[in-house]
Amino acid sequence: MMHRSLRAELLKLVTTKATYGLILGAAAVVALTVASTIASSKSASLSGALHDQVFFLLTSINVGLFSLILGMRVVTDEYRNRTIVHSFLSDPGRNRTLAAKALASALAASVIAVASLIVMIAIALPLASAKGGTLALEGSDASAFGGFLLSNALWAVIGVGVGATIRHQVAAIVGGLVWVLVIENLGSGFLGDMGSYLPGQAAYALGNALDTAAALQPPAAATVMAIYALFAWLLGIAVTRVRDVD
Amino acid sequence: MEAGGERQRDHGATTKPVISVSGLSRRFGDVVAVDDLSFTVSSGKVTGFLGPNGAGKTTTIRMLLGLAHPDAGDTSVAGLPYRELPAPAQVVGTLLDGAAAHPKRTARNHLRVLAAERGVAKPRVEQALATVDLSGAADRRVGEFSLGMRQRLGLAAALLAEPQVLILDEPANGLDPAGIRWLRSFLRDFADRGGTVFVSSHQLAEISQLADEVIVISRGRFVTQQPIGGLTSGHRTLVRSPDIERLRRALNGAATQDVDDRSFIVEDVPASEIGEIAARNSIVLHELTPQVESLEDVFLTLTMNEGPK
Repeated sequence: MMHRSLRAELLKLVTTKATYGLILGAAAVVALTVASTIASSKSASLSGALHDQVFFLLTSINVGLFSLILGMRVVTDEYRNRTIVHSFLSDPGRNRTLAAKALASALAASVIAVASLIVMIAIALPLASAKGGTLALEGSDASAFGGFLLSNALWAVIGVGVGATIRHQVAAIVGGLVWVLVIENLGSGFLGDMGSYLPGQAAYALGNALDTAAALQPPAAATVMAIYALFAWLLGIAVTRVRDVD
Repeated sequence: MEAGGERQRDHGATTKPVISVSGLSRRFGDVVAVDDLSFTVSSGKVTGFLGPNGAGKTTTIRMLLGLAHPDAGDTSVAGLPYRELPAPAQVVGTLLDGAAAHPKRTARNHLRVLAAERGVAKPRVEQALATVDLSGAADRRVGEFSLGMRQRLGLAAALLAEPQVLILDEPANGLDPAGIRWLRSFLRDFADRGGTVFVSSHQLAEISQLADEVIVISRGRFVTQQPIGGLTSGHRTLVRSPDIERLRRALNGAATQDVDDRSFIVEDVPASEIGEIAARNSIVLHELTPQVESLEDVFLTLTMNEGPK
């Protein structure tokens, strides 16, 4: 039964233009971010591994938002178009539907992450070289990119949980963006070292993109983010199971 | 196939309840949407679920399908609560909202998604589209569809898994006369093949064309369940005679309602019996006319009374 739900969710993603819009949007933002960052950098700073560069941190922040929005849309689009009824008529227990949505969103977010990495590498290496830099893909980039992939998958699962809890698309997306871009930034300042346990900080640490002493090590960051994702998803399930569907 | 002539036939052996609602109640704040509602629906016939707007029809159907939680009571479809059916969407085909489709997705892709969800083979998508006459529009986006086309797509979705039970909420919404005729014929045929059809509507004219029997609710409460023909089966006969008072006495206490000094309406005595009584008593009749009460009149009378009958 689970494979049916997963297949249906993947089919929904590939037959919806918004999915491609998010992938292309993330790639475009990465292209602009990388190009503008390198253009304003001194050649001396453009050396070493890619994941040590500022543009990789900015890529982590920006692309994570796209994955979060994707996860939210996977649920809230269905409420908005009232198609969630079809899913819950096939799966009255509702758990399977939300599990499939989380898995499908994680897969789609991985595609967003891979596309973004490809664009980042394709733009960063020649641009840096043209400016006299010596950027190169190094062995340590592999684990950072793996962490980046995982953080995007987990952002999408968090998005599914938030979307299932809030249901209203605009409220969910605005709330998510405000959390990541405003509240987290303020919170991490107030909380000091504890701020590194916030989901955004954990996500950037997972991609090894944070260069601060307080940043979590990737395994700890992965654990922290997975806990957030699991909590959001379980909250989404708990709320969805008891709610009436209009 | 036309429903009208077929509706009068005997449904005989097909009386096993397929849908059961027992003591169902649901409140929304201070508003009682459904109040201790009970009824059963059998296979082999089209059962209309009738009530004015806000009577609680949609809430009842949503509770029946596990989409809303009742405060009290039980429901079952094919012997089990909907949530406990092993493959519910293969047992029950539903149309709750014809517009429930992603507007940017094509009709074919919409049904492909539902087919994947329900474990239905791909060819069924094309068959369902053909059944509702949407094959030519299969690659158009649902957002470009008219209300009637969306309703047809909703029906295709309901039929996708070839269910034995159809639960349709206002299925004729937006259909043109040809579409309504098609729907009537389709549901008739579905029921004749042993299927169970439960159709809600607030329009009596629509239900009277579609259904064999009708369940009427008002303000969330059960009012009546009977064959559609039974709603108007009471006898009222206009009688005109130059000897009207002698006829009144000959009717032996039957209820009458004066129209003028030479005519009255007789309640609950068939016209044929009145004619025989007049003949036996050598009373001249100038008019003997059965009064046909419109379904609308019956519906308004039934739903204006709060208490169950």
